[in-house]
Amino acid sequence: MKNILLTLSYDGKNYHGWQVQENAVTVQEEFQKTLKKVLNEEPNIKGCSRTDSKVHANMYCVSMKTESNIPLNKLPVVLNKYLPNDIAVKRAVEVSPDFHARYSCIGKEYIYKIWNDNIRNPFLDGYAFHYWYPLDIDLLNEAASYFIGTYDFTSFCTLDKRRSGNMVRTIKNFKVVRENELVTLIVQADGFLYNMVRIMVGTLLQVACKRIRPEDVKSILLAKDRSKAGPTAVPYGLYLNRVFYKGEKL
Amino acid sequence: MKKKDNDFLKKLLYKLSRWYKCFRFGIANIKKRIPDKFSKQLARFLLILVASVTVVFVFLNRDNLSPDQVMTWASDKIVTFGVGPDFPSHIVGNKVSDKNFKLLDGNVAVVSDTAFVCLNGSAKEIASRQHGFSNPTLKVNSNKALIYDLYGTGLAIESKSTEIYKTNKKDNILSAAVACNGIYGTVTQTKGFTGKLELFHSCKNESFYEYCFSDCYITDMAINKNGKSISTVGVTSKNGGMISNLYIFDGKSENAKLKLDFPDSMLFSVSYLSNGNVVVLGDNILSVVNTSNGKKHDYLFENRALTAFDVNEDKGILLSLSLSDDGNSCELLLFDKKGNLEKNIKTDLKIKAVSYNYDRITAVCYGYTYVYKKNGKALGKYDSGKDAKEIILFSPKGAYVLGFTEIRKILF
Repeated sequence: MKNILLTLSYDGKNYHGWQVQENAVTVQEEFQKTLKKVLNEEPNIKGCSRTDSKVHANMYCVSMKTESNIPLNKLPVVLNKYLPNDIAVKRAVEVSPDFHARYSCIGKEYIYKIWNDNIRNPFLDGYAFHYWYPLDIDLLNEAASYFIGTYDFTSFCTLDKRRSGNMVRTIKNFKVVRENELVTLIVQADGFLYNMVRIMVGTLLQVACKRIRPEDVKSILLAKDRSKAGPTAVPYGLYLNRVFYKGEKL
Repeated sequence: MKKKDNDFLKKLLYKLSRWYKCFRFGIANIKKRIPDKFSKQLARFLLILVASVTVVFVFLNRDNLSPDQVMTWASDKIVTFGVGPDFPSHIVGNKVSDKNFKLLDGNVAVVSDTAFVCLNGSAKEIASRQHGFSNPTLKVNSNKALIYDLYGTGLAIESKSTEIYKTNKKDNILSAAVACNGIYGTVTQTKGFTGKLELFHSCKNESFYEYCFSDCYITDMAINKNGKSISTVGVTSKNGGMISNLYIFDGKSENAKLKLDFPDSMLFSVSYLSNGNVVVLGDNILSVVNTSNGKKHDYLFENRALTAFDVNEDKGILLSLSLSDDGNSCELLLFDKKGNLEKNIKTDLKIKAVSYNYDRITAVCYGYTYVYKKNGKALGKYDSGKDAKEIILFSPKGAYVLGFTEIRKILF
C-alpha cells in the first residue's frame, strides 16, 4: 500500500467548494469519481483544505493510500484524461505512510485578485473581484502589515455551528501588488480560519475607501469581534495558491 | 422525606381534593338545572362542534402544524421574552442596507454585512448569527426570514430562535423568497436562459418545480403565505422598447398561470397582499393584480418620481411621489388591497422612507418622522435622528428607525 500525494489545481467557478455535499457538485466528488474509474478502488482521500464555493486553487494537495501499480509519473496523465477540464492533477509523488495532506501541512498561501478599473474585464468574470474605486497600494500595504504576526483572528472568522476551537494564527507575510489594473493580495500563514482571507480583504477595502485607518486593523484584531471587521469579500477572487509541507519535495 | 416536605404535600393534596369537590359540585349544580336528556344532547352537540372546528382548523393549517413548524413557533415565542438594554441599539457589523430592515413576526430584524440580528421590544438580542455573504439580502414572510447572497450562491432560512436551513445553490442567485411553511424559491442565473425559477420544499435542496425564462431578466420574486402562488417580475425588450413582465405560477403547471406585460416600465418589486392580490411596483407604475382573474388596477406616476414605498399585506400600499427633481414636495398616496386610491396627502417634505400599518402612516424627512392618521390628519413630528434612512411601524404608537450605526425606537 503506497501513500501518494497528488497536487491538483482547479477552477472553482462551477463547484461548491472542495468537500462533498448533498445535492451540490464539488471538486472532491468529481475527483473521487475519477479515482474510482482509474484505480478501480475508492481510496480514502484527505484534502489539504476545505475551500468554499467558487474559490479556486492553483495548488491543492490530496493524500491517499492505494494498492494501484500505475507509475506515479503516468498517474496524473491518466487521471487528467477522465477529469473534467476545470480540474487537473499536476503531480503525484510517494510520501511517508504517516503523511497527511492536511495535518502535515505547515502553512498555506492564498491570493486574492481584484480587477481595479471602472470597466469590467470579461476574461476575469468569476476569477477576480471587480472593484472600480481607485486603490492606493501603499495604503493597503500599510494596513496589511498590521496583520503580520501571531494573533487571535476571531474578528476575521465567520463563526457558525461547526466552527470553534483555537482561533490563533500566525500571518507570516501579507503584501499587495499591482500589475496594471490587476491588484493581487498575497497572504501566507500557518493556517486560516473560515472566511478569514475574504474578511481580511473586505477590511482592507474599507481602508482603501478611507472608512477606517490602517492602524485600526490592530484594534479590530484585539477586539475579537466579527462585527468590527469589514464585510466578507466575494469568493471568486480567492485562490489557494500554495501549500507548504516540511521535508517533502513539492 | 423531611417533615416540612411531608406537611407541604399534605396541604397540597388537601387543596386539590377541595377544588375537585367544588368542581364536581358545580357540574352537579348545572346538571340539576338542565333536564338530563337535554344536557346529554347539548354535550353531544358541543363535542361534535368542537371536534369539527378542530378538524377544519388542523386541515387548513396542516402545512403549519407539522412538528417542525410547531417547535419553531414555540421556541420563537420563548426566546422573545426577556428584557434588554433598550433602544437605541448599535448595529452589529458595519452597515445595513435599507432593504434589510424588516419586521419578523412583530420584532425588528436586520441583516448587516456580517450578521443577522433580531431584537425584541426592549432591544434584547433574540438572534445574532453571523453569515459569510458578500451581498446579503433579506426577505421576510410572517415568522420566516430568508437571507441570500445576491449574485452569490449562499442562502439561509432563519426564524427568531434558530437557523432553520442553510445551503448553497448551483448558480448565482438573482432573487429569492420564502413562504410561512418553509417552502422557498430562487431565481438563479443559468446557461442558455436569462433566469431559472426553482421551488423547494422546506429544508430541501432538490427542486420540485422549475421554470426557465427565455428573455426576461428577473428583478424580484415573491411567494404567498402557503407557498402555492409564486410571482416574478422582470424586464425585457420588445420591438426596440423596454417592457416588464409579471409572471404568476402555481408551482404545478408547466407554464405560468398568468403573464402580464407592462410596456415602458421597469418593475423592480413584487409582493403579495393578504387577499391574494399581487402588488407590482415599477419606476413609473403601481399595479395591483387579481391573481384569480388576471385583472389589474394600474396607477401611473406620470411625471412624478417614486421616493419611498411600503407594502403592508393586510392594509395596502403607501407611496411617496415627488413632483420636483430634487425630491421635495412629496405626496403620500394610500391604496387599498384592490389598488383603489384611498387618500392623497400633499406635503412639502422630501420623504426618504415611509411605513404603513394599523391606521397610521409615517414618513421620514431630514431626521424627523411625520405621523399621520390614515384619513390624512397630521398627528405630530418626532425626532428620529439625522441619519434616519428607514422606518417600520410596530404599533399605532411606535416605530423602529434605522440609522447608519444604530436602530432607534420612537414612540408617539
